[in-house]
Amino acid sequence: MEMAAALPSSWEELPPDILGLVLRHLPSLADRVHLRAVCRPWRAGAHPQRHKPLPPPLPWLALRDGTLVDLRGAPVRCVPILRDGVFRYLAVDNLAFLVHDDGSCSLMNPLSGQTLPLPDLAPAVRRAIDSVPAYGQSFIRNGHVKVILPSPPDWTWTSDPLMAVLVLDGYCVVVSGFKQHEAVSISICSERAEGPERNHDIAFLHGKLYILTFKEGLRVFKHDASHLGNPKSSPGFHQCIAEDPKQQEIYGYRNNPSYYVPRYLAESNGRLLMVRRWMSVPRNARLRDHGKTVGFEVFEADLTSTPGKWTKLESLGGQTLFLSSQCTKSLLASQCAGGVQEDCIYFMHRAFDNPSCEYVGPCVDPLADSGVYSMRDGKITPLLPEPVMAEMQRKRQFLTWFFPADA
Amino acid sequence: MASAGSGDEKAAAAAMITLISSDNEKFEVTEATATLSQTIRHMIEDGCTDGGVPLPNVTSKILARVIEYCKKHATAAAGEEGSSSSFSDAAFLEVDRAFLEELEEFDDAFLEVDRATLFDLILAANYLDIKGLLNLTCQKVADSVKGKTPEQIREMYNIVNDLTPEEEAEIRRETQWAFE
Repeated sequence: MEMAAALPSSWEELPPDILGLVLRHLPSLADRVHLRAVCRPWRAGAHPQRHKPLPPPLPWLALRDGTLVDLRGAPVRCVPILRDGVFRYLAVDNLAFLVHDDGSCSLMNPLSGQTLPLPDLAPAVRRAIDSVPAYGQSFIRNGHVKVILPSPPDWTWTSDPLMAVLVLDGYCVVVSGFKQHEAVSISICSERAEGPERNHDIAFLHGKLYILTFKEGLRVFKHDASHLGNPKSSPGFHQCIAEDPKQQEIYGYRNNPSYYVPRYLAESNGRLLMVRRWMSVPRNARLRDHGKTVGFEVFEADLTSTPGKWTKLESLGGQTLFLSSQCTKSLLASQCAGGVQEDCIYFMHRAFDNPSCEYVGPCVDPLADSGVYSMRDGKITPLLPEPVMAEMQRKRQFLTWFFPADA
Repeated sequence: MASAGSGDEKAAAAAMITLISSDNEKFEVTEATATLSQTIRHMIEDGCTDGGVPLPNVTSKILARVIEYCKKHATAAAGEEGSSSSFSDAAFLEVDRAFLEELEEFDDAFLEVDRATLFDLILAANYLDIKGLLNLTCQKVADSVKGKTPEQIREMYNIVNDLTPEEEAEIRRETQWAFE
């Protein structure tokens, strides 16, 4: 009976272990934050540091005008991302990469308002523009396609990991130390090609920068941040998986394209994945704008052999892939109701991918080609519940993913 | 299912366990039912269940509910084992599905309790280490707080806000985005 007397007797006294279990059933970060703000014992007992690893919270949607909304369509009251002097932004995990009117760049955390200037990026982007004749000076603000940071981004990094920016439709990559800010721009040429080549995507795996080339080749960046500024060692890429000349971006019959196949590169639970997105293109439609995604193929980079090779996967191994060219991430699927489904690819409409050829008009549905693709049965279901979908369509803005961190 | 289970019941009848609640009420349950609790399973393995298992942390009212849950789920577990051997049999799969639906309905009805009972069930499930029940009850709490403000949660669970104004300010500062 003495033991009984020591038992918790009110909800305030719910043991931390149980609060942790409740947190695991809350996929929305806002719900977790509200739970922790109820009372002192819950604040301490439900603290994220106490329950590692908690499943990652559901991502949010990042709109082009700088607003963030959760998957229920509720706006997140964060610090405005687009302010005076900010020309545009790219979503990067849980941060926003700001491109200012003069082309200078910085990172900001929209939840805390913290910012970090990146003074050496703009000159490196300028050098990239100078090296590829097709691109004019306006690309100093428009040229950024995708920004990647080692995951999870953390302001308190003690080391100086690399960050990378895919620019100029993928013809160049700008690499910088996160803190040291010595940036280099590299245009990637294959041995056979005359000039630089367009690349599909970039990703980090174990702190190393990988680049997926146009012909599904995979290259790794041979340098560490401490040597970026050293003029004697010219940075370059080492080929890990050979180019495959058979691979095309457009497949068709007698000059009539029927499939457009963009590729993505993503780190997923210690593996490097290449995703082929098969988009069916209607007859006489504008390529890239009216494609309808019909399926995906996922390959893992097998780097144990030399040269490496792509191995096709039938399952994501309990992970969920969130795909958009601006921000792609693999998350551990949640086991709880309302969480993300495992072995699925949540994909966004592609028009947001390439700001330089984006056009905005009433005819454009920002979610026209979005959905959830199941690796298990190949079926595609709507990305969001119907009311949220309708609300996002009314906003007429392309969107991408934003991944709030629970820490 | 009922005819298939009768043989098992006979076998299990030999191993009955007596559970004793904090208010000294005795409950006779089969070992299959009792061992849904990892805590009791370990006691049985250690051979210290002769003369009954005292559960000083669980009242008779709550223990009765917990046993109700375990009985249902022990039958479910036995059913699953039985059908797995004939997995290819479509008729068995059909039975399985119907049974799982019934189990879900049972769980939903089981959770139709007041907040105080829910609280006691969570503590009992935690103490007795019954994973399914703990998961079920924590899911219920999680579902109840979804989309609610801290103040609404406090009202729902009769919790006094003991955060100091400084702590409140700190929470707002750190997670401004989540509040009006």
